[in-house]
Amino acid sequence: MAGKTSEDVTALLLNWQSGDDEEAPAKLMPLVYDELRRVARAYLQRERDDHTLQATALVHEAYLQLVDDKKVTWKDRAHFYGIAARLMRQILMQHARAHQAAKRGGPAQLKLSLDEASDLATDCAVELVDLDDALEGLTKIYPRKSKVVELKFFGGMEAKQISEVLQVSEKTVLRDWNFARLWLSRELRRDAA
Amino acid sequence: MRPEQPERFAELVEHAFELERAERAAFLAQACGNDVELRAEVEALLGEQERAAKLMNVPAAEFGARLLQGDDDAGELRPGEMLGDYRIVSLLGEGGMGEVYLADDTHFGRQVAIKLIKQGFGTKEFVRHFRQEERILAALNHPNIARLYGGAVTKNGLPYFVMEYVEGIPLETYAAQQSLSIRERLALFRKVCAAVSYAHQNLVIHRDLKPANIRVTAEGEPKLLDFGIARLLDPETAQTDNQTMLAVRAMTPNYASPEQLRGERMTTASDVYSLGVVFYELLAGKKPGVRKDGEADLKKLDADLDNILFKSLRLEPERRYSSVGQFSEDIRRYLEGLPVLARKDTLGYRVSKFVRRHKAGVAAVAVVMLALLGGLITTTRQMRIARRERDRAQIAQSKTEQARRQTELAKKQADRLNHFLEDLLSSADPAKMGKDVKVVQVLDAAGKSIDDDLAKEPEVLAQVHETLSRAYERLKVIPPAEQHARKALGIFRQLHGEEDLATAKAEFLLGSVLANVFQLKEAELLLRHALAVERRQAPPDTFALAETLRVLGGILSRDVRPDEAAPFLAESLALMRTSRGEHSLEYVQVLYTQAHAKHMETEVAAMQNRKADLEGAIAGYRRVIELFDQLAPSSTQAILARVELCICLGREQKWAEEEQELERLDQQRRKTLGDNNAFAVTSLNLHSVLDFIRGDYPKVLEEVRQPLDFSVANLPANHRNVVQLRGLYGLALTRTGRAAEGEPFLRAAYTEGSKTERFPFQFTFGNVETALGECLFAQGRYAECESLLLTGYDDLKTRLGEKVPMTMAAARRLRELYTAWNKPTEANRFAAQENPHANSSR
Repeated sequence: MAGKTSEDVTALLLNWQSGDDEEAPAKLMPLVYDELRRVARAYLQRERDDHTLQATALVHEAYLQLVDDKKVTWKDRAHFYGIAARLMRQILMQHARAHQAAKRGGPAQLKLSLDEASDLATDCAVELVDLDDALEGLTKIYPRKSKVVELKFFGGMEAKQISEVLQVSEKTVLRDWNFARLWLSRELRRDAA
Repeated sequence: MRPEQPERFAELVEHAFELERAERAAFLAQACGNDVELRAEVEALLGEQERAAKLMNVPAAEFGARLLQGDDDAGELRPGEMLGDYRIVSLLGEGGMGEVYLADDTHFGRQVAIKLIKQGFGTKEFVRHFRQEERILAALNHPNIARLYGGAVTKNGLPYFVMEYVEGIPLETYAAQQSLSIRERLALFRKVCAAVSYAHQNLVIHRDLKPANIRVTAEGEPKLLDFGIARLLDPETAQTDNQTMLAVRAMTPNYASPEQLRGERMTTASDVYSLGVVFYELLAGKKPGVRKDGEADLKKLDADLDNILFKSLRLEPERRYSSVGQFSEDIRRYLEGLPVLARKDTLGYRVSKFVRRHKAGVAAVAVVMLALLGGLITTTRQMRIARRERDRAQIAQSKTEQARRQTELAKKQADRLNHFLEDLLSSADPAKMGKDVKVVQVLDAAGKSIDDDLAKEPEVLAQVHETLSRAYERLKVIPPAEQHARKALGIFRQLHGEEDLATAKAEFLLGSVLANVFQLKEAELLLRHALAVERRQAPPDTFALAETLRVLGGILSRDVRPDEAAPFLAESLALMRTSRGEHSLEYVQVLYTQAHAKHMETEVAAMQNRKADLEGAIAGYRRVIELFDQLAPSSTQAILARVELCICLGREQKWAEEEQELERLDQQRRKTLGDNNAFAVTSLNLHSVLDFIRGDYPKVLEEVRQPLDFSVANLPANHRNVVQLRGLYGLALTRTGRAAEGEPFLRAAYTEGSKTERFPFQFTFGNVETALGECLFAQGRYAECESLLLTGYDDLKTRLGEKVPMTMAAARRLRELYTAWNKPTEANRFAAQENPHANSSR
């Protein structure tokens, strides 16, 4: 899949790596953003069609679409995964917050359309917003653990990939993940109370 | 509540977490010691284990699926967001290409639909491409076509179009909801056809016709959406990447014509096909799926409707309706109970097929033709009687109404038969029928006895002569075209005199025919007279005048008098703009003639040793070809324009480009005309020149024979083409070691060439002299060839200049001659000329 975008992304990653282009991450953002949304949609479509489908590594799929794997090092790849997971989080949270805001009384047009939307979506939005807030709290104390959550939950990545990105052992990744879940669970319950 | 030592805290939790529950207490007791608070914290966290296991156990994307799915703001643009003058109101829908929004036009205070394209498109290319197309699309102004207001690119680089917002429901849904009868459905469909037809006349092909793009408003008016959008996104017209190309092609496969799916160039016939699918669905309420299934599904439909449908769905574009207008017209015939054109196959199709099968049995076809002509004559006669009736009726008032009705009826019949006849004859139109040149036989047979049969109906006879002449001319079989035109003209002159409009029209026809074979002097006189007569008409027939001016301009241009042609063509263009509009085929034809005049200007310039603007001529042809390809890709004009382009490219010595165009030309030509006609000859001729330049002489010998025979048979012996082809053939023989065989050809070229007034461009009499010289040199006749080579060289030098390849080649011949002749001084002199830039010592 070596389209124009793929060349762009690969080139940006390489320039970034070699220090030629300091703005590479900023330039990378919109490209990845679009592709991620596309992958997310396709994913949802598949999910709707086939409920038995296993969760795929979302970011990995986007990566395959966007990057010419032969030209980049593992380090570039790590950068990419980091950005992609961060973006996935941003996209989802943007939606979740907009949804919640609208539910509380946004513009009439939006509100109208949302009345028809299912309550499930609203529940989902609330949960995500709370989770995101809690994750911010976790970042302040345990930045790496928070990053693990971002890569795994938002980026859909496996422990092995995460260990490559963060340069820690797989075991550490698993421990971070377990801890973060316990911690976030308690935070969420505390908020709810 | 924050632990004071977060790292230690986390370690304790993680460690304990990995232990069996039973072991945890002992571990914590030991690890925390007296720090009760710490231990409580750790235990509190471990207590979350059950709940934590359910937390984030699916990827966020899946978790948030519903959110993305059901959300109104899932699109690229948010409600309230401004896009130029437009405020986004809501997302109306999503498709393969992107999203459609409802928006408020804050400038004009209206609602618009904004289509955002999300496929990868380079911003710059898109904007450039869009600007080119926008003018055409925005000019589409039809009540049944949603207007395109404009378009631009978002700050994220995504192109978008602003279109008229249509509040309507899809065609089929509407038909179902309103429980429309078949007749009502047909009437509705004809409105759709009228809109598509209008667009075609304006050079716009929809390319993505489907029910979703056809909405019906509350008033019951159909509106076509997205006209020309597909073309804006067409990879062939815009430089984009492969991804887009695939995306565009894969857009709506159910409605795409076979040629569209194959990725071939789309024409109006592709829209006919898509409309056919829509037509089917409208009548049958479902998609045809595979074509062969359709037949069974439609059993319950009327046989005529069935035929109409299948004529629109033919796999071969040339067997479909030749236009959407014809498609619609056939539906009208059906609605009015008239016979439809779409039989299982059209009569014309069957006739030509028949001729192909039975070369000997063509006489039978002539019988059919004559029957038709007879019908025409009868109705014309009826019409005349009716007219006479009416005249009488004007005296006897009581009969007026009846007579008027009778006249109208007769006129209708005549029209219909005329139509029928034309349809039959138009099967002889290569643009429609393809290769079947044998249709000529049908025409020959038809023409044989009309003089006797119609002796008492001179007016009708003249008209039939005109019809036949036009049919022959379309086939580029000129001698009979000329004969019939002359006969028509003679009859009209006799009947109405010189100053009559009908006579003028016959003059126009004969002049046009003669221009084909370069009988330009007579053609010019005829056209000038016809023009004078037409100018006296009040009110003027703008279109006829524009056509006459165009043909006259074309004749002058062919006669290499571009300066005289220019004012006629300018006037023609202006008139055509008013009568047919800028996006009509007729207008493009004027543009083509202008391009030709520009081309001829360069010939004049070259003859006068001035700098020629060939680039301008090439650009003109390219523009015209693009327009032709859109409107009438297989028309003879399109092919002719390509021929001219090839010639120009050859003159510019852009061989690679010429070869490329020549290849396209050949494809186009073979598809439509076959191999046995003037175009094939011209094309072979062009090929032979290219191969000559490449030095592939054996191939030249193969290629040049047919054009040579054809030209010798059809053109005057001193025509430059004959001279050039004889020269080429003789020289190719010389260069394959058969100089003695080549000599007669070169001699003939030399003798006739000396009588030729004008040679185009790089081909001058000097070429002929040099070629004959070379032939004699090859036979060792040095003394004989010297004078030829010298005068040839001088001629080339004067006409083309010293540093031109041909002049340099002539110098080389002289050098070779003098070297062989052992005259070193002369040899050295020409060695220097041979390559003026190089060291003269060689």
